[in-house]
Amino acid sequence: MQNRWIRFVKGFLVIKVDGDYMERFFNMCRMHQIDLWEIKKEQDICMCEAYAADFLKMPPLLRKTGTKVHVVQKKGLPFYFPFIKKRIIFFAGVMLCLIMLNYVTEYVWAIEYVGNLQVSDDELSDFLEQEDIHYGMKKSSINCEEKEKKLREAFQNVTWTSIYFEGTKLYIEVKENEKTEPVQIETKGTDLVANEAGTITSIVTRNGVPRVKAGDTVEQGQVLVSGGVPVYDESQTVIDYQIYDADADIFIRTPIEYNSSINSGYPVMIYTGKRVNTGFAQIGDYYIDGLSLWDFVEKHISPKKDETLYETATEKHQVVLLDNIYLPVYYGKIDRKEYYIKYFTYTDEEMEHKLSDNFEKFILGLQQKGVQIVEKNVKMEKNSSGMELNGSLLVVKQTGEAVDIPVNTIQEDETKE
Amino acid sequence: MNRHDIFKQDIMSAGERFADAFSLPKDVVVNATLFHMVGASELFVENFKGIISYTCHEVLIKGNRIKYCVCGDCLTIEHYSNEDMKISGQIKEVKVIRET
Repeated sequence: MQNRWIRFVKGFLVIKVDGDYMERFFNMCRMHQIDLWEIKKEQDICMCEAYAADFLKMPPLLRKTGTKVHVVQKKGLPFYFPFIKKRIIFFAGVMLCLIMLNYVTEYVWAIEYVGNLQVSDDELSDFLEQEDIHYGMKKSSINCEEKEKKLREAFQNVTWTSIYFEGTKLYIEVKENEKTEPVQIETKGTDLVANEAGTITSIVTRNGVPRVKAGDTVEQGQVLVSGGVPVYDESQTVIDYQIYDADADIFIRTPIEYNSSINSGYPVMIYTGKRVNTGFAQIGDYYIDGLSLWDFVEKHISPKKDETLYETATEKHQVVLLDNIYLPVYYGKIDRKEYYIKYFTYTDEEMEHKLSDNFEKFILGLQQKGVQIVEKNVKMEKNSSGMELNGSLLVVKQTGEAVDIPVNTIQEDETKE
Repeated sequence: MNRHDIFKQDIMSAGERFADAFSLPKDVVVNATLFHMVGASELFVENFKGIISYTCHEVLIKGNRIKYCVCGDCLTIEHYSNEDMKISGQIKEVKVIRET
């Protein structure tokens, strides 16, 4: 007994048998290896099914038995071939699409980093570049286990790595050591030096030896707090120096110069209102968009003498199948606006207003940094190109830049002692 | 030879007795028709010679010197090939008709 699927593949006919010797016909079919099934008798008519290929063997048997046969219905795959044959291009396209899809899914078309907090995406990208892993490479050419090992070796704070594929996307998953102990760097000692010249208003030292006191006038680069702490013996002689990173809160009163100028003429982008909205498609390295076509048509219809300026915004999407299969196919839209630059002139009031605004912002920025303004002198002058603002401020601000202790400084100190 | 053996000799042919003695399948030795019934709705028939008549109430099957009559309602021959046949429907009776 054969499966109905086999019958469907081979193709079969529903036939109507009519005659006086139907039983003889069935028996003869049996003797000639013709399989019949679903034999149903309704009054004088008998319906049954037989393979299409076997139907061609029946005429001699029909003649012998005096029965008549009519094909009622044709079923099975061979009877669909004419339908398929008519639409061969469609089915060929479907097949080609499947083959292409199968081919394309063997490559990496997207990379995602998961779980990295301390190690940045850029660092991981650099690592992949070093390891010659890039978009469009074959998945089978990546040895994930080896790369995982190399990734752990390259980043010390990465404790666990996993490199795997989901569709055409390569995932770089890392787990970082969150309980990183502060790195013990052997200190070489630092001094605090003045960032600018001025008068010290207050100094509170936490680490190191202060070299200045409040009220002292200092020059830029002068050491304010020294990181080398002398060690004295019983006779108050320096026997050694302990090296520290100098730490102190030092405030200095210092003048600041502020200069700002503005040109009376300024450029403004003016959109002509001519806007082109078009699309683009990219398959691998092949790129096509509507702009080039548009430009070509425009060039021949209305040639322009001047060079036109455009502002172009592009929106790009990648084709993704089933959330994971990233294809090297991109599409998107391009929005291009035409504009030209026109120069306008500020009035004196506008220039004053702009300069004042800028100065206010500068002052606000200083105050946000904790700088106190003690005195300010501002002068606004009009010149040939526009207007300028010159201001001199007297401020109290925090100072002290950490610099490495020069080697010879301690030796000099020792000799002085 | 006891009474049971004499009785057996009367009703069984030599072939049957031979098959019985050597524990051989009787359908092979004496060319007997094999019926395999599943419930009252399906009947598989093997080793038969053909159909003598078929209606929806009766299927007359020709065996080796014996005819079999399958009676019932809505009888359908679901499968009919050189090796076997399958009758389905509401089977009421399977009769053996001996040729005299």
